[in-house]
Amino acid sequence: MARTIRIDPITRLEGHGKIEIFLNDDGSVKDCHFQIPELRGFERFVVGRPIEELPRIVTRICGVCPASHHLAGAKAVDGCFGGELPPLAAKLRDMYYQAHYIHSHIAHFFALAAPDLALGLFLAYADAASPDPWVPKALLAALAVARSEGDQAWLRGRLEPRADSPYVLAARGEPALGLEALEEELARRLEEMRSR
Amino acid sequence: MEKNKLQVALYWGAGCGGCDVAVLDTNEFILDLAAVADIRLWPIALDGKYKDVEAMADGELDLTIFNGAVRNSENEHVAKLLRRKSKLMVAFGSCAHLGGIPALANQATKEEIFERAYLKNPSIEEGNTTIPETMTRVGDGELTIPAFYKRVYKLNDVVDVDLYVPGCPPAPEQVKAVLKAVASGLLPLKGSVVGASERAVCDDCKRKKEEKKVKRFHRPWQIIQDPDRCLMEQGILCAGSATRSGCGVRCPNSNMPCRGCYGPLPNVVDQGAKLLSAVASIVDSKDPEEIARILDGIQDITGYAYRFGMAGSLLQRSIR
Repeated sequence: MARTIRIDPITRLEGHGKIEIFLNDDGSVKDCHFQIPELRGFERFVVGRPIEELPRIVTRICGVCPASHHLAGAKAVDGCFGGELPPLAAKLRDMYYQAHYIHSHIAHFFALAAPDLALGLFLAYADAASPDPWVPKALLAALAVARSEGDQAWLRGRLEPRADSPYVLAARGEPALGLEALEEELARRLEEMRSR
Repeated sequence: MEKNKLQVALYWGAGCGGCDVAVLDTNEFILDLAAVADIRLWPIALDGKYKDVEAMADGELDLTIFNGAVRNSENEHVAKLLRRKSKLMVAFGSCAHLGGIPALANQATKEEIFERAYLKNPSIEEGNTTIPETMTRVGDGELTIPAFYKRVYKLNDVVDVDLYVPGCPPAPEQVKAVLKAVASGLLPLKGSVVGASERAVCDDCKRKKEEKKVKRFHRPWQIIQDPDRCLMEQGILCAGSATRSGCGVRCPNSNMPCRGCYGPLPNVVDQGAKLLSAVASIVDSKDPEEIARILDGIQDITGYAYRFGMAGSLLQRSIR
């Protein structure tokens, strides 16, 4: 009986996945299947709901990249209304997306991927049988950039109420602070970052 | 594995990963957690596999933090597996607590969801359609995927749950508070909702509340709202009066109405019924026809009343 290697679940990304590798008797790979055993059915259950609610609902497609889904939803709403995005709104969206971009890269690299790449060879393999987590070591490395992450978290916090469930950039949402206060605080904060 | 450390698993059922990111977003606090706990399973961040969990002794884990709802047989299977291996089971976030956004699917049938996703999705190539089967033969091997249930369940529909942490996602400061409580061993009574307040979102909302009399309900973009006044008084449907606080009132503070992710107030059975009762009490008319017209201004009332809690409601799902 030929062997099967099963990787279940796939880890360090959002979502459920598994891989089945079928081997020949000599151990060579005969066939390999990647499966995503997950469906929630957003395609169906958003149908019939008020369009302006969608940017608040579709963020839950993925909590790692909610900003992308939020903005896609917001653009779909723009399309439905046929309106033109005011320059200020476009800038707010852009700024918000840049903040998300930084957060996502830091989270992916330091928390999800880098420990395997950077520490894996030395620690993970050497200690593969032990469940001793690499989390602290990896996060110590992450702390080296924590200040820049803190900066983007601060910015995202000013632009939206919840880091993982952005709400406000569609249909009349506004930064909690108000735009003028945001501008002042942003200028001050950028000055601080420059002087580090 | 250090014997004196807490043994912890974090897992997701039918969720989005936002709850896991909420834990990651406590940033350097995770170092404090890691100082007192070994994380044995955490798919978003660690390499634990199901077989590692199966190999554990029953009760070997001190704590499982479970986010996500129960949408398919894998979600249920892993929930039961972790329950057996774990002394304490925490339902973390709206989906595990009450079904969350995925439970909005309880208004559709499994067949309707499959049809939309696999047969009539605009991104599907013509003729290239596949309806997933739980078992498929490939060569001499078998591929299996979980069975998609007819409806979404909340976590405590399938396993015994010790504590509930509401929110979509739980606010980072609440995540810290809960993890600190667990680490200190000072746990509230079984069945408690933790990481949240006993008050309503309205009680913590700074907007001015004067007189609630509504002649017309507006969608948020239909009026220029007064940023200082209660949204509901302006005719913008807001679930703040029916929703437990603890979130920091972040949505109304950002000029967006509350949609209820922290779940019902203490001692309230059905959050949606509570919201509907609030709506009924503010309609400013005694004329049945006018009342009907005013209420017709609210589209998809079910989606507002049970945005995050369909699986935990009295209705639970549409029956067809």
